[in-house]
Amino acid sequence: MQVDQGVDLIKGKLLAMASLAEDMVERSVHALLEGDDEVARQVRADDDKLDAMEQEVDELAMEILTMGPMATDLRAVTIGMKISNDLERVGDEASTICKRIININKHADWKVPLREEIAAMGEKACLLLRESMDAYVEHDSEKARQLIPQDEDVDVLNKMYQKQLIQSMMDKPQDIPMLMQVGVIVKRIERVGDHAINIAEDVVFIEEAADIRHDN
Amino acid sequence: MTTLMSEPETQETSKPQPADQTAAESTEDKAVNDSETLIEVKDNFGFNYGSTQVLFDLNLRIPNRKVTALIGPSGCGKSTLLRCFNRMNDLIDGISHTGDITIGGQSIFDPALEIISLRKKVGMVFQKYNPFPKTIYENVVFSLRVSGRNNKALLDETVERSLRRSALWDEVKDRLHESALGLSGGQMQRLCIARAIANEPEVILMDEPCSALDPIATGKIEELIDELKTDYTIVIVTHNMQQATRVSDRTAFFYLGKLIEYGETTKLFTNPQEKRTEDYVSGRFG
Repeated sequence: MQVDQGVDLIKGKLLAMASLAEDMVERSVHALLEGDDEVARQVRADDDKLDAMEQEVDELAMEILTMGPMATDLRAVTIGMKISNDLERVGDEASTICKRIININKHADWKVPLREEIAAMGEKACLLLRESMDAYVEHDSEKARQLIPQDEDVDVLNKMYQKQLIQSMMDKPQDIPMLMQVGVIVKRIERVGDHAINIAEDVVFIEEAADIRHDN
Repeated sequence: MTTLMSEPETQETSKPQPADQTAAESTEDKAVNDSETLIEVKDNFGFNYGSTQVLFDLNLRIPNRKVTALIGPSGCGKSTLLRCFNRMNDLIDGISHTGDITIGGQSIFDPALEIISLRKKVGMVFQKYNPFPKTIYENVVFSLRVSGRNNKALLDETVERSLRRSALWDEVKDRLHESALGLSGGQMQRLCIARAIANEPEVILMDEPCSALDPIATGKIEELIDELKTDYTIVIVTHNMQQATRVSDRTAFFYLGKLIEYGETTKLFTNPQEKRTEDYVSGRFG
């Protein structure tokens, strides 16, 4: 295997990871909307696949690094490892969301507050993830840069919904355990958005060698 | 006798983006400032073997007490440039040049400059280690003897200092009067470095010094280069990209006799500005 072949292989594996990770988040949103335990369990089972894919990417990256990649190849390989980690974490977030959905569904008569709003937030986070991976595939750092401020929308929704949930807890203390489950779901969706933006920042680094992670 | 004075060492400045070089303009490196510069290739330096021009419009500042790597595909002119620094090319008939090269602010082409003096101040280590068929001791002190310095105390001190500095003393101190040809390849190359150091040079030129050595011997030479740069300015030609990243502070990439890109080694290898540099360091040509 030559370096450029290895870099292409990594790209292929990351795209496969992204596809699965995005699908897991979308299905977790569906499970929330429909109260579907079966879908939630399938998502949790798929997390193992994503973990295994991350290991494959890391092993491949190590193999390529022994060949001494330089310049863009070096950035693509090292940052590829970071992207795989972010995608694996997206899978973890989806898995955690589904765990909470399963817990909530044990109380079939309890109505999840903000269900549709949270689902819409999840779709927004999914879109960020999809577009960050598009920027990766298209080598489009400008597209990646434009995504970064959009995470603010997801952050604002998180804060707003957490406030509302806290208010609900004060109004109905008997619902606190369930409301906390919902709070975790909202927070995990917000983290999906964060991972998507990490990937966007990584794309900028691969294409421009500019580290914008901590720019305001 | 004209002597070469070295410049004091200062902090490196930040590096601007180097421009591509064309026949009509030079790639001028503005990142190494005056006070840091020991060797300057200037005035659009060009070099010819007879009627064949092999170096074009070079402007390059090599900093004091750093390691600068010259890289590029075979035939790009990097070894030719290296040999210009100590005027080894003068041994070839029909050579000519335009522009200038200064060391410590003094032109190496100054008619008043003694070549012998230049070659003491600018030592050279070659691709194939070439110890003389003499003892280890006599190899190190050869140039001292040639210049008439035969004081035993001086010679002994020089031998120990030079061999310690080239990380060879402990291995050979008990057999200094044995033939140098009995050493291993890596030891012979370190002896050649000791021989150069004995002259107390300012600059050490290395033309692919490890290409004839095994990985362990190569590692020892690279460690030595890292130690030597505290006292000497080192310019190294290498085909080994990883070696360039391991040992050098700055790297200059040449192609078809022109300087394409020059800058901090880490930046050149992680984020080259020129496509030809990117293609070369990525192994896509050369």
